[in-house]
Amino acid sequence: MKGFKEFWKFWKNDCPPCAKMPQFDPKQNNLKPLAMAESGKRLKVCRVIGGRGVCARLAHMGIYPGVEMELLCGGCDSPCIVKVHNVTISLGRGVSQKIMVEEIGR
Amino acid sequence: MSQELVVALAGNPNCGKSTLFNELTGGRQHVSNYPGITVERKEGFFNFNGLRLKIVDLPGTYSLTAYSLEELVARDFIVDEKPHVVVNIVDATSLERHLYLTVQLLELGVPVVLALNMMDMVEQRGMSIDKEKLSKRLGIPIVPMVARSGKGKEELIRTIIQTAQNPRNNNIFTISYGPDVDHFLHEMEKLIDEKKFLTDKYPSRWIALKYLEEDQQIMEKGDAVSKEFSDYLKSMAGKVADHISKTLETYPEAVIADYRYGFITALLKDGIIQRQSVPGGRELTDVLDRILTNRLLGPIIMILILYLVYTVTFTYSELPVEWVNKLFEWLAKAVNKVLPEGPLQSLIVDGIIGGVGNVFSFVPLIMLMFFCIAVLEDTGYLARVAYMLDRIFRVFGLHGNSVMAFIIGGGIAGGCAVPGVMATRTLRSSKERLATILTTPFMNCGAKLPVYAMIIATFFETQRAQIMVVLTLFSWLIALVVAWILRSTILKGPPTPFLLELPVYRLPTLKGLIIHTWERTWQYIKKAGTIIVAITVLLWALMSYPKPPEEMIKNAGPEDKNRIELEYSVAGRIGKGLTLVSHLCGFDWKINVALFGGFAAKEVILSTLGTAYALGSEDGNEEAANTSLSQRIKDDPQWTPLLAWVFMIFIMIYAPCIATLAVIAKETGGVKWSLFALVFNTLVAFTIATIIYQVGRII
Repeated sequence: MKGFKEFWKFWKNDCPPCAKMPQFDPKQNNLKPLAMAESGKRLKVCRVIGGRGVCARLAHMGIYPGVEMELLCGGCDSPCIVKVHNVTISLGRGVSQKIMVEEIGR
Repeated sequence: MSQELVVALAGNPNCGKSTLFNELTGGRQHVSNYPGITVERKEGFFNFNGLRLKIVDLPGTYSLTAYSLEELVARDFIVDEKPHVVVNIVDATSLERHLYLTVQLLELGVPVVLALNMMDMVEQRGMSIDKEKLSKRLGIPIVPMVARSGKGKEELIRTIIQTAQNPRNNNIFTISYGPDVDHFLHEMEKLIDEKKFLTDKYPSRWIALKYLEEDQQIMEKGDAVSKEFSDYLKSMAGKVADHISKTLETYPEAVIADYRYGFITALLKDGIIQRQSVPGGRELTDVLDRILTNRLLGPIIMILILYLVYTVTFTYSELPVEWVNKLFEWLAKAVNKVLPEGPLQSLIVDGIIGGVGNVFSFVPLIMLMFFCIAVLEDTGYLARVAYMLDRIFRVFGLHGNSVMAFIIGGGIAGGCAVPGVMATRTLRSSKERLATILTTPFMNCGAKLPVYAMIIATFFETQRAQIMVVLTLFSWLIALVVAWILRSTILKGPPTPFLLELPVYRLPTLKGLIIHTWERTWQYIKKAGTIIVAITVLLWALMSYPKPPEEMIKNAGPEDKNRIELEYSVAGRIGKGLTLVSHLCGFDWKINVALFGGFAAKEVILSTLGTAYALGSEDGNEEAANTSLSQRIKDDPQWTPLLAWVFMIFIMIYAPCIATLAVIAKETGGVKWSLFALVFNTLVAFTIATIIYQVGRII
């Protein structure tokens, strides 16, 4: 039973290979790209670095500065999955590096 | 009173537009649980109380900007064709997001009816929506409904007619974009009104907004009207953008989106949405996604699902395929008895029954395959496949959305490259799109499937599902490698971002599955009954005429006679001529003729081969018609398992059929890329086939 609980906790929190994800240096500031955020965290979008086209498309799908979202599955080299405005969206590695987020607790 | 009302259906991808369209028109519009499946607008009609309603299903869009083809298609229709009513379908379970498009439609000043879809899910989740309040705040009629079951359909139709007959001024709808932007917007608006700049078509505030968003299409239209004023507006918009980037470090689009969402949030306050408890569909989706899109388990499950699809298809289609085969064999026998020997008998038995029968006998198999794909599509699983494969596709210079084009084109086996090529419209980068268009025909479409099935049944009877998995993986490998070559040579360019909504998992309805399966199967049957018959007859003629002169067959026995006659015919000569090159990959002239015919449509390969073997059979006509093509090929000493592989792989890769080439020309705006695909693909096919054949012979 304990083993199952451990497994469930592990399962719920992050997808296995993400455990060794590079940590963003938190001393600099509390902003980090979405690609480096941890699975299961609630995040607030602070900035979108990138061209107007990307920015606009993201905005139209509900991702723009100020919006809060949940990271269901972190990136680590493949698209990540976020839940924003109650909709699940997967974002490619390129885009998720352009979205600067801030953790707002769970 | 006879009057036609034009009604446009607009909404986000995957919100139930196509379902509603089918429900309204009874049409068999293709519906799937995958965002962006409707790439072209579809039309349907129905009558209600003497009124004729024309329903136009627009492609799903998140917004009305001009970032992609489908957004433009939707916007142009709404603006240029001025439908009497725009029905905006929204998924009531995520109103915040879906109302974003609604707000844009209202800003455009068109008459909107809001259809709140998926109300059953809303109730299931213990939510309730105050429809009256929302309707009052937005100033538009709202109809709650469940498109899947048709609930609320009557009320929607009545509301549509009511709205169309009592048009009101919707032009007053404005949103504040904050003091900074509003100030500029107002100024631009005033100038636009004064100049009457494009105002015959668009509201002035909307034009100003589009200039702010740097909407290429609108700016071009503006340039055409008055370059000078358009430039002035651009400079004003530039100032706003500068200001925003200095103070807020972002672009106008993000600010506009922020305020729109802010407006929506305010709109939904004060008890419009009541939430009680939360358990429900979305949570189930999250749990399922944790397993199905898991880094390790996801791909394994994906391959297993694929394997299951093939096993199911082949196992359960075995008997029905045999029945249809028997039916055609019986038919051939019957005709042989009734008709006297001669050209007419040969045409009907060898040409039509032999050729078309081969194509028709695979209807049960095709049907089952389509059914399995429909299940995957309707549940929402295919979007996850795109998500999982994006990482791999990226390496080869393609995009996660290319996956969909591949799958529609036959990525799981049993699609068609024509809609596959059209599905590439969801790709924004023209180079990624072109690379996808050129590689989609490598997929194993429904027309190639019967050829594989026949060959597999002949040579690899015990490992059918396995061979199909190998063929599928091989087609993807070829497509990816070719895409990579194209993307690193003639189609070089940066990748575009991958953004894809993963729809909620849904249990497919039986009605939906049947509609999909039947729609696609019917297309196959229709093709077999029309084009394939025509080409088969043509090829039969080419294989039967001209007849050789008497002295050539005078001394030959009955066995040689048939062979000589076939070799002497036009097709025989073409096939013979091609053996000059094709002997390198082991193809004799019969195969060459079949492949030549397959250029018209891939189904023809099988029917032509059938005809060639029936005509050239050494047993004489009557006997030949009674043995299946599979048996005849098995008896032919030149057919080895190696040749079977080479043959299947050549068919997988070589020139796309004429229909696909036509679509490629249409989608790329010229015949250049069609010709490229024709020559390039055939060369690739020939090279790979030759390598496999030569290497295989040594081993």
